[in-house]
Amino acid sequence: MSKSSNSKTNEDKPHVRSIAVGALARVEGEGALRLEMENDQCVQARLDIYEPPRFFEALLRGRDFREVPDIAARICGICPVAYQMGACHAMERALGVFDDVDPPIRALRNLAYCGEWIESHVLHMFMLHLPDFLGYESVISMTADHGPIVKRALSLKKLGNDIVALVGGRAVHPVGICVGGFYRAPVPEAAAALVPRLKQAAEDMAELTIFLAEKLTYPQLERDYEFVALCPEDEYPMNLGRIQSNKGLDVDQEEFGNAIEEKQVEHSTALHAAIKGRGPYVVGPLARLNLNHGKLHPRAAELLPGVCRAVRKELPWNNNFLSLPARALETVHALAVAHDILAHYAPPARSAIAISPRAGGGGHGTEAPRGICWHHYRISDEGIVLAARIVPPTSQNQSSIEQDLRALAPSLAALGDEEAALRCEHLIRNYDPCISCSVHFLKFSRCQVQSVGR
Amino acid sequence: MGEIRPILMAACGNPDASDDAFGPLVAQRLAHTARPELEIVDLALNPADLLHCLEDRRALLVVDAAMVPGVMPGRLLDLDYRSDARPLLLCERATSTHGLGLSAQLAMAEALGWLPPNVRLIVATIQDARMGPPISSAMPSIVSEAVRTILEWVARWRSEFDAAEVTPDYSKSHRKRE
Repeated sequence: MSKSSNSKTNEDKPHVRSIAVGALARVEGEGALRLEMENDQCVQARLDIYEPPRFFEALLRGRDFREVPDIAARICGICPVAYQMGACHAMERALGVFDDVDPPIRALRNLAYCGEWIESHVLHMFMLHLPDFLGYESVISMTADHGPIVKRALSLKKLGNDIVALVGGRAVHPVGICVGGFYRAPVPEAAAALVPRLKQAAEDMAELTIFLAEKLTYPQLERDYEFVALCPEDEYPMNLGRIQSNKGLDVDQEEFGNAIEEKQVEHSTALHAAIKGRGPYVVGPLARLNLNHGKLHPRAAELLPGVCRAVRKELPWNNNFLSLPARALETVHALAVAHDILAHYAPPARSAIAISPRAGGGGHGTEAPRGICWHHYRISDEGIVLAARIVPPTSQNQSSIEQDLRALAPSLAALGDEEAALRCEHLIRNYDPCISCSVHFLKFSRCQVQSVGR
Repeated sequence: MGEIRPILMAACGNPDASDDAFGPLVAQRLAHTARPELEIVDLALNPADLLHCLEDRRALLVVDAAMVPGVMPGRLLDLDYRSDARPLLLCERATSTHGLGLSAQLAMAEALGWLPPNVRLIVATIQDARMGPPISSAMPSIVSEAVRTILEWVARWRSEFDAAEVTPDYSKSHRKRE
């Protein structure tokens, strides 16, 4: 991968550099990056997505409302709970039973989300993102030198999987979640077995959080983001809350779909989202933490001052490279919340509320590991889905990713193409993108570098 | 908690992507065989869980489809994982930004010292793995051949494990005589 060496010497013409990083041809899909710069200023940054992420919206039309959580779960193998929770809550609004869901069922829903946050965040932080910060090509080369950290991370990830399996029947594409609650509640013995593991894991993750804050060097790239997240009054967001931002957005769950606009862009088959009248926004751990840090579990909250000192930045954080410590804090939070739920667990009086189909429409978003995942459904008298709309977190972040790349571009001027591509990839990983969910992914490889003068 | 079975068979593949269904099909066929020393795990689209299944295993069989340059589709390959001649697995190329491919799992297991001493790759060479049916006409016979191959390895390893457990410790005998 050679550095571009073709440049014009005529000083009247701008020096134009194009860095195209194309995806290898894969079965599951691809994403690509293209940066074009003139005189070291970025004139275009594109994140190209080739696979359609919305096939499921059409697939859901004509299905019975009870099938929706299981079908929606197949959108993603890492965050199926997020799609199931969005589907369940939105469907309950459409059916007019949203307020009938019992608090114990809501607690189990939070527990399922704790499991998903733990396994998703840990996988991303330690297997996918940490190699970037430590200068390794991959987690495999990192494992050779940092085996103990990887072992601890794998143990935490397994615990997350076990929580999801406890509540949902299995870790991948859980089968126990239904509109109205769960097909069955966890048995007390199985719940109790996780309590000591969760207590130890919370301590372990607290230690790892301090490690991540103190030992890593975080690149500086601050921008004026609009952060959007659920903001419940009395808890850190997972399933409930109005949707708010740091720039004045404050809407009911049902109205979020009207507050944003999604548009097709020529270079991507995934829609780009923006707040109407304003523009791109960011969802995810950084948004949640900035807007809700006062509601963290005490075990996570007590770490916050030390983390802020270590990264030399008080909240709010406007540097997306700090999404890593944000995820770490959220993981401690999830472990502690899960411990509290299971330490006091008793089987609920009912695992699900009774539901009769009726015509209606409803929208609701929950906090997937990567950010708000918002669903809206319209159903018939017989409970058949007439229309579906799903807004995944990564599509909401795509515009911001491109803006970050544009902001990063000037710092790439002195770098060779390979190093420049790695920096861009590192930036994109800040968002832990699930580019089309389902089976799609992003893989960078170099295909062409040109530098021409005009 | 039950005793851990010494041999793990991990199948990988997408049952909805034509011949990429090879792994799950083999897992289905073997699920009905009663082999107390063998545990079968269908990793399907999520090989990320393999690492959690390796503890205390003495042998691992990885069953997957592969598009192998220079090798015709429709063949069954039986390879030592640690051999340099092994092909690139389909799941190796499915590394997601939020997941880890099968090859990465195996390499991490090796680096962590978790990989069993015996690891075989049972690979069906395929032409493509596009979404949707059908599987190719060659696949049923390849699945049958894979099942036979796997059962042969299970029997061989069982004999080796049994022999290792009954082999007398001659060092103790010498000390006693002294």
